[in-house]
Amino acid sequence: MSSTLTFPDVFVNASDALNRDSINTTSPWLLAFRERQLQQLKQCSLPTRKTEDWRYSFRHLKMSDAIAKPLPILSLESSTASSLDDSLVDLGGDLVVFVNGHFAESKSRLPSDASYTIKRFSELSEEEALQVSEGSSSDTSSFPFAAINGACLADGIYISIPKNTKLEKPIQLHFHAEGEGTTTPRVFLIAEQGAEATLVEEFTGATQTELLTASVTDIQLNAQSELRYIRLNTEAEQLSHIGLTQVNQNRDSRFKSFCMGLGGPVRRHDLKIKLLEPGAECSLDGVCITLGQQHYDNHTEIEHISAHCQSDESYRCIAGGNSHIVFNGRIMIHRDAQKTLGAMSNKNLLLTSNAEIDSKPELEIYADDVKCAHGTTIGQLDEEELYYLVTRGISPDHAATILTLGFVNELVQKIPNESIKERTEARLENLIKSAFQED
Amino acid sequence: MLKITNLHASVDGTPILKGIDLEVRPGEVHAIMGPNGSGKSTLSQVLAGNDSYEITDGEIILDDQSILEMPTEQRAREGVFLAFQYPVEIPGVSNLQFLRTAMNSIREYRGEEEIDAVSFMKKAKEKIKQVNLDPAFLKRGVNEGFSGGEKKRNEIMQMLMLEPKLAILDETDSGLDIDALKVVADGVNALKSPERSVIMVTHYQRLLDYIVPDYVHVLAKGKIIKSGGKELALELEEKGYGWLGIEDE
Repeated sequence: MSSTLTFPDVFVNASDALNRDSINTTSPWLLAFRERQLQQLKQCSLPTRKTEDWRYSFRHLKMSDAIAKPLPILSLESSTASSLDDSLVDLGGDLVVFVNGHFAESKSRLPSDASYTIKRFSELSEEEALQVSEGSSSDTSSFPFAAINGACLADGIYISIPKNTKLEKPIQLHFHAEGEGTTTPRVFLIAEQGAEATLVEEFTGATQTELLTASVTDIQLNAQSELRYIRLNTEAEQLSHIGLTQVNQNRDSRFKSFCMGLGGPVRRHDLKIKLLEPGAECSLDGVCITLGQQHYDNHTEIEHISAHCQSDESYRCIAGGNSHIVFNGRIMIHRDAQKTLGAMSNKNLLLTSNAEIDSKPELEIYADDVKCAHGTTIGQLDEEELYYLVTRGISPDHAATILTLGFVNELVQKIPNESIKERTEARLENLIKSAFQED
Repeated sequence: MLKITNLHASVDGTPILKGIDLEVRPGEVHAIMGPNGSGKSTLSQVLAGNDSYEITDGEIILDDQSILEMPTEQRAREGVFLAFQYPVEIPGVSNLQFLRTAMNSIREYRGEEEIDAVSFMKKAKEKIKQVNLDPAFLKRGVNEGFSGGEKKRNEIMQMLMLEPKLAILDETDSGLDIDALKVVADGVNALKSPERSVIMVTHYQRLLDYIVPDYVHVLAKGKIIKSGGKELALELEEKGYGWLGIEDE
């Protein structure tokens, strides 16, 4: 595909160019934040074939040095606007649009009242900046792409939901990217005690060249708060995306996610949850589909640090063509995390004999009074089920599409937003239909 | 309607059907009885077009055309319906979606328009009541978590929706209590018409009290060894299969 990436030097050298928009920022904390991340990036090394964390996906990690530059600035009046408008589905709540790393004010709709705070990193007060600095992913050694994000950060989005505030409508973040280079979206959300909200992150875009999105989302859930998190990694198949979502949960907080992944040259999403205090619960759902030569890697990690916490995880993956999916789900139960309830399920469907799915559940349990279950299956469509549908007059291709959709339907039906649910259903149906037409 | 001549079929090289001859005219109800392992289910599956069975000789004619080379879905669209002995569970695919897709596939084949949502729902609700199932079942996955009896009633419900011209019931009566059996029988009787035919494959005579057959055939070791009227079933019930020189395994 291209020459080898010399990493991380190429990003270290390019970091000034990458964050050109804020290089003259008057926000000293952002400069300091970026500098710290840059120092960390310098300590990072490129994953190799032997890096356990990249074992299955390493072979897809092919990018040229040309990627270490900012995406071009796009005029919202140009052709971009139409491709953005096509991909942007307004959910009716507050909306923040970024195009190639730039805040697109004319496409956004910020809250009309002051029920909560949403603003750019460059506008933060000292106190807010401190929250971000303290609550942001620090362990970049295991995930160097988070350091790329930090070191090359132009700006980010800060969201703070005050105590006992319940937001009825979703907060919609839309990141659109086109052209050649790298973009580094970054989100920080803090839900104060008893707050409730839905956060939607959607990534769209198209390119004829190489494009990398290195995204980071940090979420801090304080006591009794609840966040529903919908992440749609649904860019066009030419785009690469390596992203991290990190969640810290305090007492009795709840985190419920739905992550949808479509394949690309190299795609990966790491979802890391820390259950820090008793009573915290998380429920992680994921659906992933790849076709042709595409790749997608789901990495999840749930750390049960405190007692009486609960986690429930269900990921379903479908691989067609010559594509490749990875599911790596880790549950770590620390010594003090007694009375933990943990359940992890990963079911996978291979549509062709050339598709590959690597599923790796990892359980590390150091407490002695826990209930923790995990299960993985990898299979093909059931011949008996296909036959049953066909005896009712349904064509074999159509039957295969229905069954494949049925495989992920249970999770799709749980998406806590009707508009996204319908859109996801339609999108999956088209993709699955095309998978069976390919053959 | 249906004419089977000298039908031979095998599975994995083992011959199961060894020369079946059977003619079913429009409006007739035929019962096929016989001991376990006689080939009853094989005959049902072969008619529906299950490709795990190999037809080694013979002919099946449906309405003047051979269906041997006809794929399963086309047979269904031509009006063949098989009520399964063991219907599969398909989680994630709702009964409604499944039925609507099936109906529209058949309508499209006949050059008819897709059924509109309102008429479809009306019909589905009517038919599910007819087989005494809770309408909430329509929204559940196909047969998902259904009891044995509910699965069988769901088969009959599908049959009533799709209105086949040849319905094949493969031991639909087995495992049913008397109330469910009556529901199944009422469903089949409701469908009966001068244009439609029914083949009932059964192990027991009991079903035939409720769906009265025009003909009864005894299948043993892959062949029809005796045919008669409905009184043959009573005779079998009374005497077993021994007097025909075969054993009920």
